[in-house]
This record gives sequence, C-alpha cells and structure tokens, in this order.
Amino acid sequence: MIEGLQLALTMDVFAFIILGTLIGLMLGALPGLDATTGVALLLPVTYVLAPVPALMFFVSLYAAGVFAGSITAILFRIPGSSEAIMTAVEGHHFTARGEAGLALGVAVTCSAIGGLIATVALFTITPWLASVALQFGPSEYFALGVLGLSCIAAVSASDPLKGIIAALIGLLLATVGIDQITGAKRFDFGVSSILGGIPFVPAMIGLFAASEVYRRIAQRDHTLVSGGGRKVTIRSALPPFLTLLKLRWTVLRSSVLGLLVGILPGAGATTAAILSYSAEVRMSRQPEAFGKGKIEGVAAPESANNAAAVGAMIPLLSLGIPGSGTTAVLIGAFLIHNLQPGPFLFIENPEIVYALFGGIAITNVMVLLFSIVFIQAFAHFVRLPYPILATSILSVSVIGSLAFGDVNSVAVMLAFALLGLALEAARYPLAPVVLGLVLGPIIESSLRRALLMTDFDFTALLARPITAALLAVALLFIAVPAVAGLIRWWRARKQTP
Amino acid sequence: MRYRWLVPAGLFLAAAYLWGVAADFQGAVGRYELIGPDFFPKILLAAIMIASLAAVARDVVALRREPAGEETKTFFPADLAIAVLITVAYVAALHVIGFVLATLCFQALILAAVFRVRRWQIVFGVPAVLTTLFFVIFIVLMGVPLPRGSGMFRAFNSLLY
Repeated sequence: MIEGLQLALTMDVFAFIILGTLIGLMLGALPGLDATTGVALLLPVTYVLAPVPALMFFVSLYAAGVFAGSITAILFRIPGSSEAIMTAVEGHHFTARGEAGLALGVAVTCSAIGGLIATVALFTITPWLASVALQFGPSEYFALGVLGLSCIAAVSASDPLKGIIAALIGLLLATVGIDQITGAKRFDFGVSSILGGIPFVPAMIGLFAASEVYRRIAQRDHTLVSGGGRKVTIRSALPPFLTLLKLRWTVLRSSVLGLLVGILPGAGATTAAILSYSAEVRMSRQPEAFGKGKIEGVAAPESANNAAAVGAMIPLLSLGIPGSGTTAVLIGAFLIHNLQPGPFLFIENPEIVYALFGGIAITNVMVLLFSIVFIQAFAHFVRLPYPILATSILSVSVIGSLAFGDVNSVAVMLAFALLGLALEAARYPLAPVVLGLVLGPIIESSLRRALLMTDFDFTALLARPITAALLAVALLFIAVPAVAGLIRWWRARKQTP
Repeated sequence: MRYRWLVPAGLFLAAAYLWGVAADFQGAVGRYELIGPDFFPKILLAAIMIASLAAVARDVVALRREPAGEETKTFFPADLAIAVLITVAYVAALHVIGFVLATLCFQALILAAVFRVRRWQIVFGVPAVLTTLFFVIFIVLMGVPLPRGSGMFRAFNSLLY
C-alpha cells in the first residue's frame, strides 16, 4: 500500500494527475463533452506512456469531469454533464439571487469530500463492497429505481399531481427507442437517430438551458442576477466553515449513498445524484424549500456524484465489471497496457491498484484547488449583459448538442426546450421529468427481467430481502408526507370554528 | 391562469394517440408476450390519462372559484417565435454555410432581432469574439467535427479547419 502511494506521488505521475484534472475540468464544463468522451478521445495518446501515469491521467480526468459539469449548471442552468442535473435544478437559484459563489464553493468542497470519503472506502472495504454489488439482481434494481422516484411528491410538494404527471412524461420519454428485451422499435416515428433512446445530454441542455433563455425572451426578463450579485473571488468560493459544518451529515449521508450506488454496475453517478437529492428532501424539515435554492440540494448531489464516480472503480478493479460508461471506456486504458482489471490485478499488480487509489485521493484535492480558479473564470460570464449571455448559451446549446451527436440531437434539444417552456409556463416542475428519464430504463428493464425470472409473480419479488426493504422505504417516503398532510388538514379543520 | 387546463387536456389526447401507437408494437413472442414492448408504455400512458383527467377536472373547478384577472407576467409570443425560428434557421444553415458563418449570423440576428441591440459595434463585434472563442474551444482544442457546409462554403471552411 505504501509503495503504491509513493508511486502516486512521484513527479512523473503527479504531473499527469494535474494534466488530467485540468482537461477533465475543461471537458466537464463544456456541454456535450464529458469525461467519457475525454477518456475515449485521449485513449490513443497514452499508448506511449507507462501504465501508472496513463491510468492516473484518465482517473483524474474522470473525477474532475464529474465535478466540472456543476460549474455551468449553477451559473447558467446548463448541466455540463448528466451528473450535474440535480445541481442545475437547485444551484441556479443561487446565481439568480446573486449567491453563485456560495453554491459553487459548496459544490466543489462537497465534491472533494465525497470523493475522499469514497477513496477511504476504496482503500479499506473494496472486496466487501464488490460482494454487496453482486447481491443486486433485477428486482433490487427495480426497487432502487422506485425508491428514486418516490421523492417526486417531495420535490413537487406544492402540487404533487403536477409532479406525478411530469415524472410520467419523463418515464414515457425513456421508453423511446429499441426495447432492450424484445428489440422492438418504440415511438421512433421513423427517426433512426433516436432508436438508441432520447440522447440525454441534448435533452437536458434543451430542458434546462435553452428553455430558460426562451422563457426570459418570451417574458422580456433580461436580468440573470437580481441586484447584480456578489463578485466570485477565491475567498467567496471557499464556503464558510460553519456552512460546511451544518452540512456534515448531508455530505456524509450522500457520500455513502453515492458510493453504494456507484458500485452497482449500470446505476451510475447521475442516479446517485438523484437518489441522494431525493433522500435529502425526505430527511429535511423544510422539504418545500428544495427546488428553490437550498444549499443541501447542492451539497447532496455533489457529494454523491463524486463518491459514485470513485465507487464505480470498485467493481472495475475488483471484479473487472464497469460500474459506469466512463469506467467501461477505462477498461480499454487498462487493456492497452496489458492489465486485466479483476481479482488478479490485486494479486499480480498490487502497487498499481494502490497507486490508483492514492491517485484518486490526490485528484480530489487537486479538483478542489484548480476548481476555485476555474470557478472564478466562469463566474465573470454571469456579469455579462444578458443579451450577450443568452446568445452564448443558445450557441453553446446548439454546438454542445452537435458535439454529442448530429442535427437530430439539436432537434431533440429544441424539442425539449419547448417542452420545458410549456411545462414551466403551466407550473409543472422539471425535476421529475429528469427523474423519470434517468430512472425509467432501470425501472422498466429490471421489472420485466424480474417478472420473467419469477414467472410473472410480482409477490415473489417481495420475498427478496433487499427488494422488500427498498420498496418498504419507498412506501414510507410516499406515505409519511401524505399522512402528515392529512393530519395538518384535520388539525386545521378542527381549529376552524 | 385561465387556460391552465389546456396542458393536461393536451397530454390526455397525446397519451390516447400514443396508446394506439403502442398497441402496434411488434416483437414479443412466447413468454415475452405478457411483458412485451407495449407492457410498460401502456402502464405509463394509462397513468398519464388518469392523472391528466384529474388535473383537467381540478383546473376547471379552480377556474370557476378563482376571481378573474389573476395573470402575473406578460408574455411576448412574437419574441419567442422569432428566437425559435432563428435557432431553427441556424441549425439548417450549419450544413449549408458551415459552423463559422452560421454562428456569426445566428448571434448577430439574435442580438438585433430578439434583444433589439442597435449598436452595430455590439451586433457585429460580440458574434465575432464569441464565434472565435467557440471555434478555439470546440474545434481547435477539443477537435469536435462541427459542420463545414457545402459547395464553396465547404472549400472556404476547409481552409480554417
């Protein structure tokens, strides 16, 4: 272990950690480009490098890329990467209030803490966590998806019916494309480019960034920051210690949850961010304040998505199973250096494994340091006159969608922009649409696979302890606010003469 | 809001139409027939129809109880339509005149037509700076293959990237 850590701290390796962090921050902050694209694009560049610097470069690029999407999410409501979607929902309200520095500072600090907590788990309980991940079958994934959806009522507390409709729209949109089980085409209307499903990044850029610009244009509301806002400096980007202290349980809970979701193959950091956000809404004494700019709503997804990104390394390294899209591409980085991820990696190349663990810890500190500089640079844009900013956002929305796919991706972006505009005009919340879109494929395919395995006996799913426990928690999450509402209504009625 | 029931009513109609589309999904055989490709979409569409009807009913009832003239923000549909049309034209122009010229024109048009900026220095200067910035970030640094256009525009853009 010590040898591995020393290896991570050598100048050759350290330089690549810094380079990977900088490229990851840049890629993550640009819509349409993310850590997965970065790793795939730069894979050939590392042929000539030794295995440890090459792997460190990619791991740091990955960790930094997961965080950086939050910068544009908070400042412009453009999620630079899918992992930053809940941060866009909550964090942009801080920019509108002129408190972008606080949200950005909390985001970067909580990301780093989440990543570090997950790294401690990497060092200590990797084999045990990998065995937990293996316990998850289709029925458990289905229950996990339902648990994620159970927060709809909370994130749309003012009007749960609208929240449910918005989530159903998201779930339905997630069924577009080729059915994973039968291979049938669904709701494609002859457009071949959506056979793989709705492209998520262009959809989110449209739903949040472009729709916001169109809304302001339609209302001639050309002020992004009310009252001008405070200038973001290094000092303001470091959140007050008391704020962090107040968030300690949020960060710890979300990091652990993020880590656990991260180790599940296919679940990913986006799901982790959504689940942690919903858990935080549930545990808050002011659930109605979420979605309007509550700092816990930034801290929770940020801690969770970075912890999940690190957690995804656990099944990769210990079992050779990628936990996310980026780790699937990372397998290529291992293979081109003649390394086979899996149990034998721990036996044959323990120094590489521990150097990677150490490198991940260092990366999280580097992300914290470099992000503050990045944040300052990006924060200047908020102070631009809104017409210039809006023009930039619309251009980036189109270019980001083009970078992700083709003209059809831009069409998807525009369609989602108009959908977001219509929903917001009718006061439907957007967050449940995202929940449905992300969790839909997990819920549908897991439910159908689980039903196939149990000969269509739904009750057999409940016989599995993890499934039953997760569904019970989901039921509790739905029932408690409903019962509390009924009690409040009954008390109010009793007090009325 | 007087017309708020229109959104759930539209959703109900869309869901009813999509139910018909889902009924034609092919591909399930044998054991898969019970959980075929239409299994999950139909559950969702049924739920959307029920929830939409409930929302329409609620909105209509609320409309009767609410006092008139509760509107809050003024809406300028012409501004929105112009912005969306310029964006659609931009996307269409990308494959004809290429990224650089299309982006310059798009930004200048948005500033002039949507935001009514009249200072020519801004209408032409800002797009020049922004397009150069995006060109450097997306094409030079990231190597994103953005459209070069066709014909003589392609020849011109090939000189740049």
